[in-house]
Amino acid sequence: MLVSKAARRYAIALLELSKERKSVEATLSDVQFIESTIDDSKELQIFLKSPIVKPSVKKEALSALFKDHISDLTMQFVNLIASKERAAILYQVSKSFITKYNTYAGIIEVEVRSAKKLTEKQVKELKTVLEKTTSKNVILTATEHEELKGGLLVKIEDTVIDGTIKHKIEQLEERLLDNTIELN
Amino acid sequence: MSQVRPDEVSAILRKQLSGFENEADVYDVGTVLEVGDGIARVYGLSKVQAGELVTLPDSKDEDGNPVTGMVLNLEEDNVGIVLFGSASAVEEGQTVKRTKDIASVNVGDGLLGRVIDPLGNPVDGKGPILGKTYRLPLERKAPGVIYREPVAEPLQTGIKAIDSLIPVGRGQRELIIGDRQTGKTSVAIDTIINQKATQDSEKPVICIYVAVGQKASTVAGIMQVLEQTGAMEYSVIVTAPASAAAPMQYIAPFTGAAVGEFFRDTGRHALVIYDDLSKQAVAYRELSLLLKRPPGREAYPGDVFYLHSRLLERAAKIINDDGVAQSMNNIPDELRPLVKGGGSLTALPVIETQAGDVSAYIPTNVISITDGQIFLDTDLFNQGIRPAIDVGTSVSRVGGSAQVKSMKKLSGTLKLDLAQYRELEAFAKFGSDLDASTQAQLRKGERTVELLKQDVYKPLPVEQEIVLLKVNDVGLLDKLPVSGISEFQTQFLETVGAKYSQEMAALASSGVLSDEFGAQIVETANHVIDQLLAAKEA
Repeated sequence: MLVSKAARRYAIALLELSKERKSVEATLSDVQFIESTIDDSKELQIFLKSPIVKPSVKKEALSALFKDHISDLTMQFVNLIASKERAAILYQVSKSFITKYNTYAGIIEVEVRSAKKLTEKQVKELKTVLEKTTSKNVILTATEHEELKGGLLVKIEDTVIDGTIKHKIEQLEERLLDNTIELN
Repeated sequence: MSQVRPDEVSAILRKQLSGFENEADVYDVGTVLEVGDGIARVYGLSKVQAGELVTLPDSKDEDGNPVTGMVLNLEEDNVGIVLFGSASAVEEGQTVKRTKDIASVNVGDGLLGRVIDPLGNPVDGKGPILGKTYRLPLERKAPGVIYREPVAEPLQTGIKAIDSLIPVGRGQRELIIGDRQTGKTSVAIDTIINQKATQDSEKPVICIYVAVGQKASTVAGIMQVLEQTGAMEYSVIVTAPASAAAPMQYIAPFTGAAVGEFFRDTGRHALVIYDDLSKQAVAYRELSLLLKRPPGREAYPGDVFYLHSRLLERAAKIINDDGVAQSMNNIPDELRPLVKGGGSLTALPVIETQAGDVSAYIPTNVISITDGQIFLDTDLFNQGIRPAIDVGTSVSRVGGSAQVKSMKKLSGTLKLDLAQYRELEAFAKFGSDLDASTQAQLRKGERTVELLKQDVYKPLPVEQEIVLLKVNDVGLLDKLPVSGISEFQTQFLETVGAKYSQEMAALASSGVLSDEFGAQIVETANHVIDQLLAAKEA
């Protein structure tokens, strides 16, 4: 998703500060909590984005929501964002923080698509192989897509390693329909 | 058509399938964030290059093919791509795939006689492009200084006024500029038709006509004219009609240049006509504004000068030395073994002005880039002087050195006569009140202007131009009334052609009009004039 410059800057600031205070892991779980809370509640999303709601009201609401669940540092951060009238980008900030944390901790998110559900053993093997080739910690999300017909599709960031039957058939079709015919 | 045997079919299929690896395919993707006005913003595609082609496999255009696009903007967190197909088929969230192919076009000898779109696909319904093709990039750096030669060979347009007064040489860039409906395209088409004469010579000129933002009916008309005159055999038409998306109109001249470069770099001579660059500039302005690049003068982006200068720099006369030519910069590896020296690419860009305003942004830019301009004037056109070339403001900065000898000699006095005539033209209405020398000058000027008139699609071979100018030079035409000149021209050329076919052929190849033949020409002209005058009296 597209993250605004401001959100990225807030996220970097939070990560740097939590690194200084040696509470990166704690902050991460706080931010993940904030992210999932906003993700789950449509009302909260609208509330935070609404220009009609006063910033002070947003600030109070946010503090009431998160006060008992997150650490002091994160709470202070949320308050800061709210008092700077930036509550609308809180979700983007948390997204951005997670990405920044992943680069910091050497974690990559890998998406795996297959026609049939992979067995736990297969997932485990795949993860080991991927961790070995990328030399990073892999968070693997596996999904099923029947239309792939067979094989695997692995998506690491922007790069796709496509070994599905569907793609093979498409390639074959392309080659056979290629309009430049060379007759010898 | 002969039948294909089933075993042949299976052999071909097996061949196609044999190279089919069992390995996984690796490619880079992104996601469409927003789309509109032929522009899409894409998230991801982090390794994509500027100018690279991308496809959107999830989208299907009218013909059922996936929409393609070209990367133009690389920004901090997104990529701006221009879509070559209909943007309505593209939706938010669709996948965008890299092709790892910088915008290129398949070029080969099979293109001759064909009409292609800016991506190199044939659009004339004559099936695929046959023969070996080479993939050449649309954007290629122009040859450097050491790979060039000064312009020295003529490119005959077959138009008397141009070949004598504003000559064009091979490798030159000569702008054709004028208002709408002044005959810009006709000058260009005449030039293409006139290259038919070169096809049997050692140095045939291959012609590329790039139609940008033209009516599709106009392009069809041009194709028909070229077919009827037999000029299509050595021509290629690149078309991005007015209905094509702005990116297509923007890249069309680059496609034309890539096709021309193929012939230039394989040691042949090519002529490319960009008709017209003002429409390309408008298409580029549209793209730039949609991509939110800052607008400058007349809302054109800052690099609109570079757009035209890099395109026109690719016109060149390549050094006549195969060894040096082969080390030329930016030659695709595939093409390098075929490279030969001595080729050329001549460019005739066309610019349309508004109400004769040559000081607008795009006209001044292109005037300063090119080696001269042919200025076509509405007033002259309406006075019946066609081609409506304003010889006062038209210039050719390098063409003079490429002119054939006799033509150069004759054009010197011609230029002077016309300049003096223009000065005195205002006094013409005083008629007999003027002194004898002024009257004589007016008389000669009128006839010269009449002689330089020429019908459309009727280019003249250079030897005929020379003999006509010779007759005018010695002042023989003064005896004739102005209205009798076109008739004289037809009869005279017929007589000369029949009587002195050998001498004319020699003149065509050497370009030198001997004194002896000159005298014979004058004698013949005298004879024809007397006949005409006698016929008129009777």
